[in-house]
Amino acid sequence: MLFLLLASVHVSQGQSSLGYVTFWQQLRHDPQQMNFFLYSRLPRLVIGCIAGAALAVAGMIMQSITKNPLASASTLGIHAGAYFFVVVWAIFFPKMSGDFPLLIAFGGGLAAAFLVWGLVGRALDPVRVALTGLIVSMLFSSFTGALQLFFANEVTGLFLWGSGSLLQLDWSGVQFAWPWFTVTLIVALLVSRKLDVLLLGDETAIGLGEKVGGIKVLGWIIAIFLASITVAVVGPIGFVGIIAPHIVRLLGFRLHYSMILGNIVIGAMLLIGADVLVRFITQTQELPVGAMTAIIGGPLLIYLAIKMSKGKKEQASALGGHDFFPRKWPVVLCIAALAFLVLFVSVLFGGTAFTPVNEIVQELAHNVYVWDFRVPRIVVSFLVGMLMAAGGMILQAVLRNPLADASVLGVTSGAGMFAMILLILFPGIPFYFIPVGAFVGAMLAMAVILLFSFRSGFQPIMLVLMGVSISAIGSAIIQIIVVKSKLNITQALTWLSGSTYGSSWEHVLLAACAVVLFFPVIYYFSRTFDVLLFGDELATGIGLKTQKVRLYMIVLGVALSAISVAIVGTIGFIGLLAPHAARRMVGIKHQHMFPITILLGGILLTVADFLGRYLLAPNDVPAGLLVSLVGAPYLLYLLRKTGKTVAK
Amino acid sequence: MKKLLFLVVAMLVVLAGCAEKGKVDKEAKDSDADEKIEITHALGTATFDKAPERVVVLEWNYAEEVLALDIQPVGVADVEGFKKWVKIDKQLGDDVVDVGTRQEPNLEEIAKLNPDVIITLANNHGSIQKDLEKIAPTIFYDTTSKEATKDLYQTAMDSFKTTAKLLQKEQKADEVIQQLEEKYSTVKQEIVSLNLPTKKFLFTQAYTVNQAPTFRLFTKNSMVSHVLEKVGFENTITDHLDADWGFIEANIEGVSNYQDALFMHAVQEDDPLFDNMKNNKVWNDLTFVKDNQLYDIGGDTWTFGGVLSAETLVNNLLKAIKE
Repeated sequence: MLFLLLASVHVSQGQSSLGYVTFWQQLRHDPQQMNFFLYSRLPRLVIGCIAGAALAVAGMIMQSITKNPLASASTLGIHAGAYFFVVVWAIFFPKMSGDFPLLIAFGGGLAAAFLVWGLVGRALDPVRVALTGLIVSMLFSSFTGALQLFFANEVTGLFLWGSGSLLQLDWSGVQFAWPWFTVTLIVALLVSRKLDVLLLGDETAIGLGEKVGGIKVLGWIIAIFLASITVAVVGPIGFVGIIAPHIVRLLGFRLHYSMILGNIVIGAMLLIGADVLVRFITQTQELPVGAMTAIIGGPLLIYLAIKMSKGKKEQASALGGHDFFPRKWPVVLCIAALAFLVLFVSVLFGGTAFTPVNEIVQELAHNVYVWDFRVPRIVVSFLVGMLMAAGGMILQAVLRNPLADASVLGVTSGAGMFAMILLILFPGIPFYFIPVGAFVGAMLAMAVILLFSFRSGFQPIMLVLMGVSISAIGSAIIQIIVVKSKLNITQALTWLSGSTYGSSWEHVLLAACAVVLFFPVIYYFSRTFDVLLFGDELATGIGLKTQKVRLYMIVLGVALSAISVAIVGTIGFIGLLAPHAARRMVGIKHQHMFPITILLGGILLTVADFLGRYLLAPNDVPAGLLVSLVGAPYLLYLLRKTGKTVAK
Repeated sequence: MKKLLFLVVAMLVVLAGCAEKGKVDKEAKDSDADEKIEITHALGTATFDKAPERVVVLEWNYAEEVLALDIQPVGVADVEGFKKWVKIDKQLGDDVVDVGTRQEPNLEEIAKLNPDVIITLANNHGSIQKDLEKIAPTIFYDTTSKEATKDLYQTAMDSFKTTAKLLQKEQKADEVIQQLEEKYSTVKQEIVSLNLPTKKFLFTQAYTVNQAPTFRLFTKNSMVSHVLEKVGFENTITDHLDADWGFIEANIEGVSNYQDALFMHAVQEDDPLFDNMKNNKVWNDLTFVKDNQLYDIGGDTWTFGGVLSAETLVNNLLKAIKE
């Protein structure tokens, strides 16, 4: 009933909409409305139902097989993988881009699934799976983003699709999808009895003489195939696959046969419902329905994750470090030399060409523009890189969490989102107020995260999962704001994507002040960080008011990150990478780590800035993109490492 | 997140390109004997001792203005894009330097050109005003304020005249405008003699997003609409008078609201837009499709340009209607 009502609302929506009542009244008399109904809205409805149902069933099967309530095509990275493959295909084989979309998407989905498997290990711990999947998604997205930048002309048509859209021009999408969908579904129903066996647990099932392995493989293929159908036809749409099965289970369905049927209905309803909402928000522009499902699904994912992780105290893992170099100062000197080299090369490159080394002195002496544009930009990159690295180091130490970093925790995107909201609420506001908004946003995001994760004892993985979810919600909200408000927000967007462009001496001054103000403090407290690492009991034992210290330090860490965001926008990962690299070199003593960390941070951002200026000169590539190309894979690597530590 | 940003930035690239006209606040009184050129623009005033010779332009429509005055700029942002999108009578010279993207033009490249003046759009580069002014006096035009949006044709004419004053080519500008006016009246007469079924038009610049057509429908305040009215047509869109950039966005359903008109379109040749709609019943049932009233104005007609683009538009229109 509810479904029918939703569907009837759905088809009454459109740009030449007459309103719900009038639409149904006039439908029979007005051939044009009939056309809309039959050839644009009805296909949209049907494809929405198919996609929603496919995603829901796929999610359910994955959840059954992995016994993991957080599994779904989106959380396992299957969507992003499929999408990435399709984009690659469109770019490198443009002639064939229309052919075999299903096969390509399926291949991408499989690849992503294997990647996540490989990274998580056989145990498939729920929260870890969700997290790895989301980061795999992030990874593929940043690759896709880079491809889109470098091959802008080839992929313009794929942009909207990248977030999932139900828009249909005629019945061809449905015609393509329904046979595959129906056949796969029938297979699923046929094997549903076998899937029930999985509920018994592997041992029992094997005891009953069932071939568990075979059933699992079959299940995976069905699930990935269903997800691939949706990617091929409407693009990656997240979260439906995770929510629908839960609702179905809540409704009391237990056996797979009935669960599949239940999921078909609920999944279709969810997606159609989201689409109704999306089109309620904007009628004249096509807004990805994927954005809406992220807004609805993100919080739910967090909630589920918290529930999952309860009772299971995965204690903050130790920050492993290596003491490769017994003598620290030579290392510092080497890194400092490297930093100098990087800065030097970076200064050499201006505009579109390198200045020959023997002319650099002269250039610096006579070309005032080098001082106006090139030097401040490089200095800002280096200083901000240091700030980010320091912020990350503090957060990692305080939260005893090797994955902590402002961008991973969602603080950075919180800052970005808030800056955007500020722009919308006060359209006349001067551009330089955006950083203020960013700062407030960063603090708020951190507060929310701490509040939610307080009860789970700041578990590393939980924090990151929450951060990634918040990022997903944030970017969906930004997307809606952008479409909804007709502001000219070019500047805001450039800033959002993380750019060192246009840095001036004022920015240098701001960053330098932060460095001078905070770094001595951090160095002074480096012993405290060491103590915090060993756990609260010990820290309290030697007379440290841990809670208070912890809070102050978090504020300090977030402040550093917020200042960085305010200056260069949402550049991530440096706060994650630099401290790690430093720890691997000189061990976990912060006194030793600190100088290396900040130098590495500076080097990283300077290199990113340099490459951004160099690669497509005279065009600029945002430094933020380059950093995330390196950062996302590294995060996966770290995740794998921490996984092993925990497993021990 | 990244993906989203690219989507939006890409859309804004197009949008920003659409930036049409600068609005001149007022002509500065210029009765001083010392013959200084004083230009009042959206973000201040710039003074020149003599007409600037080396001009850098960061927005396409102002590059077009400069070309119309028979001057070659020394640098333009996104030269490749200009050549793809802006088809006009005059060409950019081969030695015009590409100074990077229109969003983030390369400051050092601009400085290297040692320009006498930089011309750009306030809402794109207002934030780097200080940087630009370090290099050379910079003229910022405005196309997004309420007043500028009211009549984007007038805004374009105003900025053209200001640019002419800046470059001391006012006579040339008058000539160009005069020619354009004459063109309007001859074309108008020709069109009358063609006995079209209706005077109403729907003008769109359209492109394909994810296999789906997206239409920009130009409203009465747009440059395009004003030009078409000058040659005797009538915009069928009478609402949305204050649309930013002079257009509203629509899908096929939105287009159906305005179907009793001549359908004029500027669609890129390699865009599969019409192929995709070939079997679309909604599209095929629209009045102008059934009556075969579709006119291809050419994808490289820059609908956000100035005098030269207006001329291209009128020429292409006449050609399309005659065919």
